[in-house]
Amino acid sequence: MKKYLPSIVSGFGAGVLQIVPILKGLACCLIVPAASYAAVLLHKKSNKISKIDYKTGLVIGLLTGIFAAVFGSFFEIIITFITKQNDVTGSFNQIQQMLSTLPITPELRQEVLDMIAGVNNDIAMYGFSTLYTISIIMNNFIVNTIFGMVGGLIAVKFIDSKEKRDSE
Amino acid sequence: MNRKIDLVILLLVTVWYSGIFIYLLIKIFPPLIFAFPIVNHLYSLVCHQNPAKLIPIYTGHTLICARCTGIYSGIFFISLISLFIKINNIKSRKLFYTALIIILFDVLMTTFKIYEYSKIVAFTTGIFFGGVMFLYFRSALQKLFKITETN
Repeated sequence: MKKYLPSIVSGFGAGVLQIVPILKGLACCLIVPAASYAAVLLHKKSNKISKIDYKTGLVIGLLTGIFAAVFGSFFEIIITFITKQNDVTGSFNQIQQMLSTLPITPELRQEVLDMIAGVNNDIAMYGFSTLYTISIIMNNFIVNTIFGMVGGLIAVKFIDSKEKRDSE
Repeated sequence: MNRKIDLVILLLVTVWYSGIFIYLLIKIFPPLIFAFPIVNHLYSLVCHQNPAKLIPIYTGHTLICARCTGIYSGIFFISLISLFIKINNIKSRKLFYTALIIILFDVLMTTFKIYEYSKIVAFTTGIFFGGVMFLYFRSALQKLFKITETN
């Protein structure tokens, strides 16, 4: 359990930060890589190791991404369930406007609009939509695991170059 | 680094990069419209998608802001270039700090309205930052595979 702790702590932090709208807008795609960096540093300090290898960095980054996706999705679903609103309901008009500019047939556009309206209605009535939940979980897992691994690898690269510079 | 790995990375980067231009892709393949809400949400995880900062393309616009489009353009171009030109490992962190300072400077200056937000400046600083970050990532990946091969 101890070896997963840095990833769990950092992943939890990233999961929480991902649902704070202003922070989400400011940090963009940097939250998860930064969490991976923090997890690698925590792992290094808690295990008192002098050198960390790239494979470990990649695994820590992947785990951080997975935990960030789990916590981020969980919080988003819970908040949607309680407040009965989210990004989709908030930006429905904007998506509608976007769709009107797309070069497609009116029938196709109406089909997509009906699909989004269905999701919108489900969220407004029950605070839950299956399609939205699947999309949240899937998207969070794709983005967070990739960015987590990238962050983990870059973290090891930075720590490595810092140690080399210090030893010179 | 193994050319196959470079190709796989380029392929993955291309898939991600082309999603930014889904408006153009829908023009070519209209049924993609059904994926639009999910793809739009996917990119909302990595960008604030402020409508005033999106780059207009054809009748639509990019799914992410000018700065983020720049970052991913930088990643895409460097991953493409690395297939044809041998790029050496980056050892120092100076390049990273330079790119970070430039992008942060522009973010802070436009946030505090010291000067007006410009899509061109945001895109350019993004390209530089994305390219540099990809060089570090590639260098780390190179070492990872070297270690795996020796084991």
